[in-house]
Amino acid sequence: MTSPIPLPATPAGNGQSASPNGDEFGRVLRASTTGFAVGSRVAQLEAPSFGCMVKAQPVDEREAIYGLIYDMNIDDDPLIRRLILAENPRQSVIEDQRRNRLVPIEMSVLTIGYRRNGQFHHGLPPRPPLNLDPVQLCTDQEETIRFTDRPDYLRLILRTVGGQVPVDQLLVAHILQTYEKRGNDAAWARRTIAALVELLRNDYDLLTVVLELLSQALPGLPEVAELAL
Amino acid sequence: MLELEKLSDEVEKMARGAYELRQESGELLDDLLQKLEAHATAWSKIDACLRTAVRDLDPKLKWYRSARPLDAREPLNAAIDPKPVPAQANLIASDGSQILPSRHGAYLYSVINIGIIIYYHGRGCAPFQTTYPVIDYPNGDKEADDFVDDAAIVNIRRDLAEIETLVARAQELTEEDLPVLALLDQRLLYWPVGSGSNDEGRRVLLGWQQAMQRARDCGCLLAGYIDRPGKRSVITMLQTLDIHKVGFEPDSLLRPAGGSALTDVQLFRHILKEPGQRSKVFVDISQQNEQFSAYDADNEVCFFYLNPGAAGRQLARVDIPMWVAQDPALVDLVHSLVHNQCQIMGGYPYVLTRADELAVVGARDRESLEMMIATAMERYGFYGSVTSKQSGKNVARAGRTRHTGVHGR
Repeated sequence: MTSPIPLPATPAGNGQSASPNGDEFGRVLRASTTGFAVGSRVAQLEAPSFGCMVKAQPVDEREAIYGLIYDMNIDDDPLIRRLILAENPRQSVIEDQRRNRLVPIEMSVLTIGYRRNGQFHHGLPPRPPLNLDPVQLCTDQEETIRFTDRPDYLRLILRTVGGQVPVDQLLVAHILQTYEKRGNDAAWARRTIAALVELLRNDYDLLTVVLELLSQALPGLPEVAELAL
Repeated sequence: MLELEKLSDEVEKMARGAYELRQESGELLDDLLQKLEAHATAWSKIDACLRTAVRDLDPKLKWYRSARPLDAREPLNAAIDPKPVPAQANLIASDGSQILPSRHGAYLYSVINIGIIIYYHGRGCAPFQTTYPVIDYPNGDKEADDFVDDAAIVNIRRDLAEIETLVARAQELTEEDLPVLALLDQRLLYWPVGSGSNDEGRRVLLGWQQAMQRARDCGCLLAGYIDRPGKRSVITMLQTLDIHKVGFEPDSLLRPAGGSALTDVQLFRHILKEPGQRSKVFVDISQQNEQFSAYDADNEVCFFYLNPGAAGRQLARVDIPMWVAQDPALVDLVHSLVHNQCQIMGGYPYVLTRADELAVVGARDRESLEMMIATAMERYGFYGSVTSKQSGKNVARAGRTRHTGVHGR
């Protein structure tokens, strides 16, 4: 028998402390050139949300890969199903399921570009991130401004139309979040929406839905509402 | 591959046989229930009959498995409701699993993995969980053949590791001024089946009894939870009440009453009707328990039956050591805490479910471990390979994969 591991000093000590890097919310579970899945603990779940721009940030010299969160999965299992049937599950049992058992929570990320040698590229990366590469939220305003300045990366979102990615909702969430992160940058929003109109000229159905949703989300930009009409 | 249609006749026969057996044992069960009612407080007669049985069966006593009431506090047919559960307590549970050595594997090794969970009852926080994996392998002082032949020993070592780890962790919990209940997913009256007479079996048995002593010394309540128990000790005790009748054959007490279908559970199912109710506490009468008692009187194993509260489910048995059984307040504490755990899942202690989950070594874990072993061995120039037999099994059992389709519009 190996020597026992010391018990935690207090019941709260479950090794669920937040990441030392404030922006890190998980690590790469699996990846391909077009996207990657991120595993995250419940304690890290507060920050990331649908549409967030994130980056897989390798610790070595490989490229940082940028993407948008387009799905979050929380799986069940037979024990969860059994507990659902019990009336009023206890707080300690809920905490056990969330902190000890339901890890990792899985998020799907669509790749929209990468950075190499300090330069941003709006295309598929030369190689995907590796398992366990840390994934961070892109909270730095300067980085967001530089990456989103040109709208070319939107092509990588639109090429997934008809697949698993909810493209209309993802575009709206991304544009709204980025508009705010850029300091309510109306000029950027107009440029980006204009680019979208151009890119979606052959997909009128999708364009109409996106413009309608954007006009509701950005009431301060009346020209978006006009486009939607 | 199992061709079910080839078994259908036998399955029908099996069900019909079970039905007939139940019809036969039904009458006997009625008799036993009447006897239980009639002798609910006949303490002197019960004591006298049990003494006679022990005397008359002396040369064959090792086969006599019965029970005696612990005390005269409650009648034999008592159905005792749980007392209010304490506001706070610490519960700890352990379970174990193993990888047995395989002659057909690439490398010879065995693994014991113990899962531990600590549940802080009443505090609303997440439990603490951990595992203790240990690997064993031939290391020069043991021939490979002996190592493979020792597979049964891995199982009894796992049992010992379960209670030793449980008690070691429980001891640390007793530093807090809260009740500590340590729960095992097996009987407390442990016996290393098939190994009781060899050196390793004796060592494991000694270790088990010493762990029970350590639990007592630190004031940790120890209990074994047995789901769907097959014990017939109380039924044998009731049959023993006829021992002074003319023509009674004492040897009949060595055979199960009503065939193997009739157990104490069927008897107490008619008594413990409400969820959470427990039976009176009984002391196990067996040669094994005598050995436990001889080693330390506080280690003598007692038990009660419990209705864990799930509709349609079997009763459970809870084993407790004598020092717990003799203190009614401690019995109440074990009863209420175990029942409280059963309420979480609807019929089985939550901590035991989680301990099992932590302990189990799945096929993927095993594959990963074998990859790790192979990588380490290859660094030193050893290249193992599975036998043709194992290779064939792996290929045939690998399963099928599905084409997941082509994405895009």
